Amino acid sequence: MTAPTAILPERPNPAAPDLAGRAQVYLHAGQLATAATRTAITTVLGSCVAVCLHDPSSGVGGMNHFLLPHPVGRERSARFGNVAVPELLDAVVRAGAARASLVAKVFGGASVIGAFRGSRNLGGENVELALRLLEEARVPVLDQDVGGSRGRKLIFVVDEGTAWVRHL
Amino acid sequence: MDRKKILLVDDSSTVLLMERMILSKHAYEVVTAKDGAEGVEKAISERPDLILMDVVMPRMDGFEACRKLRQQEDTREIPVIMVTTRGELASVESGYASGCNDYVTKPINGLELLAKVRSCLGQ
Repeated sequence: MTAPTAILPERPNPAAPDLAGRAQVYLHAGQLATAATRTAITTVLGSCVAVCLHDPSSGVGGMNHFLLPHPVGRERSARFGNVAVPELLDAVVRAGAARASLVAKVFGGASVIGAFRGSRNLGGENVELALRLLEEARVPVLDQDVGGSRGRKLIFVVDEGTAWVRHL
Repeated sequence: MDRKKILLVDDSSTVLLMERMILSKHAYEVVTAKDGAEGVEKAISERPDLILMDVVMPRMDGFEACRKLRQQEDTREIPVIMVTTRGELASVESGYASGCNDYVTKPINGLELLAKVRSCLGQ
């Protein structure tokens, strides 16, 4: 797997999607959300990572936003990637997605300085975990915008499976 | 390992106490400021390795303080983690626009704060 790059080329930054007629959800760190209707989920990511799942056949999908790769201590919640990714997979299937049709997009995992020093890098660890768990779950990753040193605003249009990212 | 110095900027003595308790347990040196203006002064005089910056404060808010830090040669490179109130999407976006590097939300979770602090310090 390719490590997240430290410096990203500027991603094309088209106008934000038209969200008229869609339910809008703001996702906080440690939460996940699914939708089976016209819905856009928005979040802001620093070193955190969001996995977006979409089933093209039904339009059902969802997003998580996790902070750390693994639990520290006894807390097990969607704050941690190794809980949040399997929980999201289960949640979108419960919401009506076909497990075999799911596709993914992965965003976030910025690092202030770790990526430049080659030292421990929380954002990079979050990205690696998300990609590894999706690979193990055989969910193809269609797009990713990860690493670098800048935060991101992410809007995922669940019913279309499209993602809009702005580097902050 | 060097003992890293962290500047905590918040007008709430309760938040400062909580942040200090979390960080002091892990061998960080902690200095504090009670608003953005004092935060900028302390950043210049204390040269911390990292700053935790509240948003809403008297005299100078966290956004303006962060902009001032980014304008000054001596403080431009100091990582800033913005401490926002949960639910304030606009606050988070404004924080990044003013130059912060990452954010945590109140109520502060000790594990999350420590993970982000370590990451920002390259530890």
